[in-house]
Amino acid sequence: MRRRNPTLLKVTAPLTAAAFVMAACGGGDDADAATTALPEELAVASTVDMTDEEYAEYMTALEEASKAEGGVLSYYFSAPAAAAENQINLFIEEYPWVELEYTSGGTLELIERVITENAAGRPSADVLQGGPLEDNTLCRDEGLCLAYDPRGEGDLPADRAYPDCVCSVADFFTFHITYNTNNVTAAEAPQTYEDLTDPKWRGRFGINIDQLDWFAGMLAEMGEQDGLALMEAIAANEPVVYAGADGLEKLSAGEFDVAFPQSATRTVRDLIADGAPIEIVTTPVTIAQPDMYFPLRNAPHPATTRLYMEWLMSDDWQNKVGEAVVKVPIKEGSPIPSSAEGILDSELFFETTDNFGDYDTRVEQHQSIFVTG
Amino acid sequence: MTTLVDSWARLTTGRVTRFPALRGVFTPRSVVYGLVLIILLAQVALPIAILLFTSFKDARPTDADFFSLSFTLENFRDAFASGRLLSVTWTTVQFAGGSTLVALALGTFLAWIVARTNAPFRNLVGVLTIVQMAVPGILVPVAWTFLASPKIGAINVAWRNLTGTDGTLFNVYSMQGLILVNGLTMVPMVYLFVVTVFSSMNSSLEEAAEVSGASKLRAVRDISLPLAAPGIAAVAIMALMRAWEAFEIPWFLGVNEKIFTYASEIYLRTSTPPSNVGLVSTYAVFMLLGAVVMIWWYDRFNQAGERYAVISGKNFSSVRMDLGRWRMPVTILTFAVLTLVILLPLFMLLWMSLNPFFRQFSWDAVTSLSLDSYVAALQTPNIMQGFVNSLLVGVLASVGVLTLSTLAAWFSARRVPGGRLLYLLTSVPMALPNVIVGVSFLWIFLITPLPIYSTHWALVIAYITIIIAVVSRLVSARMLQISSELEEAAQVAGASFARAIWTIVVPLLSPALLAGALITMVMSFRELQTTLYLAGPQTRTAAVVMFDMAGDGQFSTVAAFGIVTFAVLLVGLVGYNRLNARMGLEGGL
Repeated sequence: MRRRNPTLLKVTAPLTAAAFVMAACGGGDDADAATTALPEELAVASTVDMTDEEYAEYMTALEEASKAEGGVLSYYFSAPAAAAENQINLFIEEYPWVELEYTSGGTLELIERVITENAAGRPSADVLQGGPLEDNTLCRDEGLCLAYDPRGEGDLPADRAYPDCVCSVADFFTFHITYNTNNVTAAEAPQTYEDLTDPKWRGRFGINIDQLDWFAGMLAEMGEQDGLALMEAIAANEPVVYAGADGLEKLSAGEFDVAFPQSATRTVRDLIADGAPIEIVTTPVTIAQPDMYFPLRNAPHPATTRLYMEWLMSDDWQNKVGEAVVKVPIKEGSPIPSSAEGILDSELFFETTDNFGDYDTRVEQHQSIFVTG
Repeated sequence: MTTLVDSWARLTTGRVTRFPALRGVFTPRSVVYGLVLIILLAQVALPIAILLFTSFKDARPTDADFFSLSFTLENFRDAFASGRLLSVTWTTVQFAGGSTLVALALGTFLAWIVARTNAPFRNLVGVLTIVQMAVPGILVPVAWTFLASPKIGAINVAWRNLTGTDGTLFNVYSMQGLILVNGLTMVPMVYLFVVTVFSSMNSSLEEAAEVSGASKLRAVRDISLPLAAPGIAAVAIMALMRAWEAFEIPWFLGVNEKIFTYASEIYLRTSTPPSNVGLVSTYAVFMLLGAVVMIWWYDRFNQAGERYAVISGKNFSSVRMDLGRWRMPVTILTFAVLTLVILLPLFMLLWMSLNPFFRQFSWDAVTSLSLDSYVAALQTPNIMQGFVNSLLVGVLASVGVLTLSTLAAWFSARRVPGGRLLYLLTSVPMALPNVIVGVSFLWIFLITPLPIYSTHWALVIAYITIIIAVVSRLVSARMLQISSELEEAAQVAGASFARAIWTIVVPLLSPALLAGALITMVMSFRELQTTLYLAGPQTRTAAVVMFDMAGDGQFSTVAAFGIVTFAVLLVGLVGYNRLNARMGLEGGL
């Protein structure tokens, strides 16, 4: 029988326990530190009307202030880290002293955290990336967003500016119909959402019930009555309901022949590049969702937050959006991803906070038509 | 200094002479009880109090009027208004009841094989049963979709190729499919519970029955199963509550045919942020009531605990049943069960990890398999950080869960005054939806001035609340089988309360404690809902990293990460098995 060395045990056990306890004491974020005060001359609401000289001075002072506050950017995003990785890495390349603290989670969890952190006086987030839902909840209902217009917003045409949004829209993505090329030819593929009410598609298509934004956008574009009628006709054609990103896997596997709404972003493009039998259809009217970036009013790192917002709307980033994150830059004339060239030939309809409608009503309608009905 | 030491020495030996009025009040036992009670009240009673209070409020905890004395029944009205509550409840009864029966039958069978028979490959059977817990929760419905979807599921495709028909052998989206898949996911938990019960049974009782002329089967039916009844009843209740609040299987598989259980209904009704915590709390109140009923029912078994004590001061042996000519058929049946429980899902996971996206089995697909997903998994940002965080939080949570469970189980089993309160406090969390635990602790950590939020301790505290109900039942079931005469004998011989617990009770509890540690570690890697509310940038766990990957549509990468996690856990389980063997304990796995 093996004999244990009691002395060794008595020494190593407490040391091991202490190591675990000390390791667990790490990880706290800057929420417990007071928000860094921004120098008054930098606490401007807009840099759109600054002259070149004023802007250059402002940016220099902002960089110094960012370094002084530790150069941390606390970023909240409901998409995976990989989705924002390219973007953030390019920002850090430009401003190498910046350190990223990335918090991901579901939309519901992130909004809950931001609201609760601020209500408890312990804000943690600097920037939150999201859409109309976050705009409505965090900005309009809770008043937690910082009104700040970066210089680049001055170049936007009227149809791409969002004057009522306490955010910056740096890019957008679009919703499409996708189909399995092993089971459906290009000629057979549905070209419009109305095509999916044809009996030949009964039970052959899947609908993603996570995409409430597409639903609201369709109702806004078509009008409430016509939109609901179309949705009900689609639901009557017995779609297969699925939730989440595994829809693309199921489409590739042939669980259904058509799947929508699917955003034409990096994930889809990567799967197609890997050989997945998927193709994207661009409908005559394409629902577009703006990517909204919300600087938060109580950001613990206000200088770095403003620096990031300026960079988002700069020509430097706008010229890289298409390649880096496979989304369409908001500035016209900036390069778009090659895979999105056909998309801009269609008529884009932007889903926004203003045309979204009442959230509870939209959720109720969406669920009763496609989920519980 | 000497005075302090003397005072402490007298206190810990129970001989308080300086303050006679306190004699018998501040005994070691009562001090320990007080500490356990305070911790459990903070861990369990506080979130439950928030839940109950919030269900009657139209405000959120961070609103100024939350603590006002105005209450409302609006949440309860909303819960009933849609008319779906009753139908969803009935669906959940079918789902939870069916899953529990499946898990109980298969888990008990496997536990019996491992602990009480001479079937070959017993250790392998135990390891394979447990290791199923390592499969990431988010992948279970995905794996079963590709196994048993009516259209593309490998089983149904093979069936059609074999028979030449257009039929479906098994529809994973049906209620039967949901019941089977969820039941299979609970088999490891049932197995862990029941195997510790079976491994401590005194086979001399069965031998006595056989000597009296009873057949082996009759001895099992009339002796073994009744003795194991409290333990099996405990795990049945636990499995029922786990099935009641199960979310992933009903949501990802049930939505296809619009089968909604309690958990997926809650998710539907509260999917607009900020979360309607009042409504979620209302639904959880009903779950809490159900849990109280279950606990009362289990308590009736608990009251007869002394009759089931099989680990006593007398030496006992555990002889395995000789299966004789049934050895081969039973072995085949065992591996058939294991195929369903782990081998099929594992194979599908492996297949998914070797492909960039799901493909049907074909020679072309086989020739183009690659390890790209494994490379991508290892290169995923923060993957090592997630793994280390899960490990760290798991170890610390294990210590907390096992300490509290052991002490609560002892006070309850020995019918110490107040013991049943501790028992209740460790049981009730099984009714708390994880989302309620996450939101409750989010508020608590942000409101209190302690720097806990976004640290590992935030996760440790929350995980203890989530996990303690499961582990406590495991430890309680084992504690019921340990006769009090053992530690009483030690105390009569002069050992202190603490020493008697540490040197007598804890070693006898070892199988349950090790199983509890295992459950805690696995759940620390898998727990997601609560973690999404509490994890900070530096404390992201493996589950959050996998959630990220899955959200990005990288299922092959998640599958690869799942395989790696599985392999690591397999190593841990082999070590656990050897530890059990060195302790001379039967059937640990």
